[in-house]
Amino acid sequence: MCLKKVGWVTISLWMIGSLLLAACGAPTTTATTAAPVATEPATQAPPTEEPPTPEPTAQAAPKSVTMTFVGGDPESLNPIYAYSWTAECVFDLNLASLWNIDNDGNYIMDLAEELPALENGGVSEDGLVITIKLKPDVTWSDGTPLTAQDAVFTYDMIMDEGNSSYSRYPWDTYVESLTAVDDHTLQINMTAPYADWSTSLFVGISRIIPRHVLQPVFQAEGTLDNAGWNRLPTVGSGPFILTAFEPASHIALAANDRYWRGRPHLDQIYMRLLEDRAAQLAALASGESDIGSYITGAELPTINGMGNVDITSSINGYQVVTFLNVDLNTAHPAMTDSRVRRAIALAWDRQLMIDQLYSGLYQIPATYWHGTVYDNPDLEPYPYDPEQAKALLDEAGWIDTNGDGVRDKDGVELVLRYKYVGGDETTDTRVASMQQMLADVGIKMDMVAETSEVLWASYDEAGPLATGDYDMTHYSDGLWYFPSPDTSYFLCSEIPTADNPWGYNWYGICIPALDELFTAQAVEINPEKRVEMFYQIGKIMYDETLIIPMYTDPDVWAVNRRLKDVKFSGVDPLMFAWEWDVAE
Amino acid sequence: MVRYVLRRLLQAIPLLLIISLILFILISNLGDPLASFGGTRRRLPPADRERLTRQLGLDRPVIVQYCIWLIGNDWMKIDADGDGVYDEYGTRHGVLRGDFGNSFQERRPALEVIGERVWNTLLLMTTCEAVVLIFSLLIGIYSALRQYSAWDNVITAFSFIGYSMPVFWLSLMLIYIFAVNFKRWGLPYFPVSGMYDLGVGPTLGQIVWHLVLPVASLSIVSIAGYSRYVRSQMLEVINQDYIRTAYAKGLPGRMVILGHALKNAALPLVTIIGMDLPLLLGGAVVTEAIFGWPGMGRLYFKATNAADIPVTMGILVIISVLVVLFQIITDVTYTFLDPRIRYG
Amino acid sequence: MTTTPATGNLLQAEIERPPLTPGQVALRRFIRHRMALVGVGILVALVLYVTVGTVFFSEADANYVDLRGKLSPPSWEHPFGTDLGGRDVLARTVYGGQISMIIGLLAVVVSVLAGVLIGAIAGFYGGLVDSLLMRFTEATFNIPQLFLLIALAKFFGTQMPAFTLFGRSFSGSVVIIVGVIGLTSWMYLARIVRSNFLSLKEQEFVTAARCAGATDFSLIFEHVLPNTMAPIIVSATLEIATAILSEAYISFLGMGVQPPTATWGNMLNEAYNHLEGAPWMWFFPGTLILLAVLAINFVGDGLRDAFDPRSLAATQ
Repeated sequence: MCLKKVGWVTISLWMIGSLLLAACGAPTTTATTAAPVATEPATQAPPTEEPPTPEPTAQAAPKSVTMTFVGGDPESLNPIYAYSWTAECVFDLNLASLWNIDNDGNYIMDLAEELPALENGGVSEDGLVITIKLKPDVTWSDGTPLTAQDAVFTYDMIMDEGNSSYSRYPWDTYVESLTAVDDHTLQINMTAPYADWSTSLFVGISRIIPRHVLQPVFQAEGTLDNAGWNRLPTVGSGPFILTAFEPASHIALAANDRYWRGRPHLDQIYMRLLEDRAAQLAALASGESDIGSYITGAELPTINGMGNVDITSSINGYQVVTFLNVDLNTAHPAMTDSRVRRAIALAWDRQLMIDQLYSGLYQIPATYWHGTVYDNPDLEPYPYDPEQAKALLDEAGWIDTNGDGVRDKDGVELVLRYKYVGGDETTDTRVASMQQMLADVGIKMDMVAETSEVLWASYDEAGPLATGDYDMTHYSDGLWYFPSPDTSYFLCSEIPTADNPWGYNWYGICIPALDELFTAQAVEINPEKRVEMFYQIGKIMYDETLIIPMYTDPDVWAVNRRLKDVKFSGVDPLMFAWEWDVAE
Repeated sequence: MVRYVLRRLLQAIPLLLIISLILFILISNLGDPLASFGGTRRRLPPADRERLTRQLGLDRPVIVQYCIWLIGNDWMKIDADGDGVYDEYGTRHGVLRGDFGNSFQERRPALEVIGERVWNTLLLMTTCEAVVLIFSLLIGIYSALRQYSAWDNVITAFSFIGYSMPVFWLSLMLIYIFAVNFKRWGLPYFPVSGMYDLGVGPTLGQIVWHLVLPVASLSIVSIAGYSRYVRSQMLEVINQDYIRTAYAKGLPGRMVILGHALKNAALPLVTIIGMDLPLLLGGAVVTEAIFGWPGMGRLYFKATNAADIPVTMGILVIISVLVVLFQIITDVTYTFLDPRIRYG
Repeated sequence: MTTTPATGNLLQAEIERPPLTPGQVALRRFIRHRMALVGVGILVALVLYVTVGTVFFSEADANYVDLRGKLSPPSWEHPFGTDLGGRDVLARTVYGGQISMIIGLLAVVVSVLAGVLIGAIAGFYGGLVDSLLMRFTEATFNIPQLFLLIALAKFFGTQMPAFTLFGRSFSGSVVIIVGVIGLTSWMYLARIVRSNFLSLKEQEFVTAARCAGATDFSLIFEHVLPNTMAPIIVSATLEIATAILSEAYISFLGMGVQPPTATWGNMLNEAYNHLEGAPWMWFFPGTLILLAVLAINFVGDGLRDAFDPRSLAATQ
């Protein structure tokens, strides 16, 4: 037997087989829009006609736009399970919400007729009952009318024990019940006058799911956890409907003829799911991608070099903040002294870092509420003043007594541990330069890079941040329901302890005056009073240098010039997708 | 022969069990699977954390978790709604019945998640193995036959450089030259990343075009090493008496080489390439990262970092099974190549 | 052919000279191997590079961040250019080389210790012990190294303290990486040692020593082991190269020694974003890795030929 012949044949078969398998065998999740009807039998309101297939008109080539997203696949396309920004972007395209908020803070009505308020009776006197009127003629993409019952069903699904929904907040805390007064009137009964109902209930990442598609699934399986719709929501209410979800590759959407605003200008949108940023830049450069997302300042020169791509950014309430551990039990003795904290803030030349590493794209915030009306206008960001920093450190008693270049006091060296999530070259360089700047004023900073799973592990898992085993850290964080200013990060009650291991206040900030203000603002429905409260909050945090905001972290988009009318929002990123068009 | 194969398969079972137990314990201590829920933009509220910990089964001791992973929990009562009462049966069937559980990150069967990616990695790897096999043989044989010629020295020099290079450095160089600069110089160029161009779709042509650079970087290093090995094997064989006899008998050169020498020289090569599978899988992680190839390596890396136990364990089990199978196949192929080898 | 008196004297001298030990024979063969000598030369040069280099640059120089001078091409002030933080690449390759090479060496020490121990015990005692140890070896071997590496690197976490060597302090992550690389590369050596032990323990000199009352420990380490040194040495040498490459891999995946400490591997990782913009960032560390691994491979090749009497190259 000739080895050679057998060998060649086997090898060739092997190779050809693999190629064919990859090209055709890899399970694609493309489906015609009729599929969900077959697998999840609709018992109510079956579609009266064939739903529109994503076919281009006979004359022109389909107008399609490719967007790229970095960070991997969305974990689920069902709003009750999803939490990532990519998922939220998909929802902007395929699911409608009650209203959207644009970059100027204007409420633009979507499913709701008008914004409920005291004046129009939408909000009751005591703020406990909110009545929302839905537009009467809105339908799902398969023709079924969208009613208040869909909203009630969504609420029931979020709260049901059979579903491992991502989060029940704020429904479990502030909502007592949800009822459909009639097909187009929704009534929400609150347990307390929740100030931020308008930015968190069925708004943003919270969306209404189709009852006629999912209720049969729930009744059959007792849970929505494994519903096919979670991966391929071919029935939707937004300007586009999903036609394919190819994991690690892309999501394809086609124009929804039944969208209540009318069919959008574009015919198709592809959301390309990439694993790393270099691939996105390459796609933008070659024209494969029309819109790049979450561009960082470091990438700006490359994009400007492309010549046909413009940059636009939206404030989204997020900023990169250096958080300090000031917990009396676990902090370095120096960190409990506000003069030392202020010295650290003064020692860092944030503008230099922004200019050199981020092409000057970001701004330096003064408070945590930068970019909202709640930002105290009297406060200026901490200046760069190393001499003043040294003076403050001397005044606080931290002097270099043993000549090793590092200040000390009472035998304790001023060595601070800076723990952060590593892996990004620009971040590592920035932290290294922060280390250098602190060394210049006599503070030794040890950089410890970790992965986010290790750094952010919970109190029970001995996570370094949760247990106060650090001195400084940074991450991008902000207002969850931007533009709502509410946050519970700085409450005394949120400090993780054995009894309450899930608290957010990893910084050990506990100031009674601050606590009072935060608790009061959550239920303050008078806007002016609320703003005043946040001015005070901002001032306390600024004076005590409890946190050091480094720079803003806006949504930065790269848009190819072949598109026109492309606008974004920092709150609902793709809310204007129905207006986008291709320039001829 | 059949009895031998059966015996090997039976021996493999306890092996795989031990491997899976060790790995499970390792992975359970990797970190907090819930830490990255919400990403950096929206952290998990505490009540939900507690609930999810319970729903994902993470509140049980590691050994119990391993048993549930292996044999499922649909035969025992669990406490589904957190009220302390064990009143419902579980829903998992366990690995032995084919249920690898649901991925923590993507909330759908881990096998599905892996299945979508495993073909891509297999494609990359088998193409690579084939290329390595063909070129190592060709280059090694040529080098042996033309020992000490100018070509041989050139090949030797390049071989040394070739297997001294980190694969990813080579990848970066290849991208730099053939993807970035070729495009700039207007020459036909190769793509930087992905398995196919989105606008065109996964056609055969696209996939082959996108395969070139990743396969090149993975295989060059192996070819460099193996061609030298083939060369030294061939040199040993060529100087044997029976080869000289064959020439003396008047057989044409090519038949001597291909019919006699090659078969004997190829034997050890088969073993080595068969055992090379684990190495290729490892190298693929980095290559997949650089070339944006949507394969299992990347998935493994992401899943391990996120402590996604079902997916990580799924991948490791699949790899271990594949490796053990390949070893058995290699040993069996051995007997076809060398009739003197017989297994009881 | 008749022998002249001169030749006769030479022969006499030859006969009376004491025989060479195997080590000396190997050394002679090694010296005749040209490539191996080149390899040794390169290695010496590299060691000088990373040690003498410290005279010109302090470690603070290597880590000195100057954002305004970032990404500048090679110049008189910075012969190898600067990286994103404005740090001098030349200085960083000096200090990075120290770590990369130390990791390579220490990892091999761990690996050889583990491999020899397990192989020796399995080969010497045979039977059940052998079966168990070999199954364990197979189990670990079957898992691709990189996968095991990722899992182990995360498992050991970052609780390791820093240590000082030659007056320089190394972070705990170096210990972890050494351990991880070492613990994932001992299997091959264990197999070789075991098979050598299996054949050697049947030899007469072992039986004789046993009769003379030698303990097991003494038999293993004083009698049998010295006779298997050749493959151990060759394998260990070549493994240093693999270890250096492994360090580069791990750093490339972001799990190696963390910044700001430089290693050749993590310098390559940083350079990934600057492929075309700043090629000096990957060129120099990459070439240094290449040279080190190349040199080690030459030396390893030479050693293999030197110890192996049947090898063709040794007779050239």
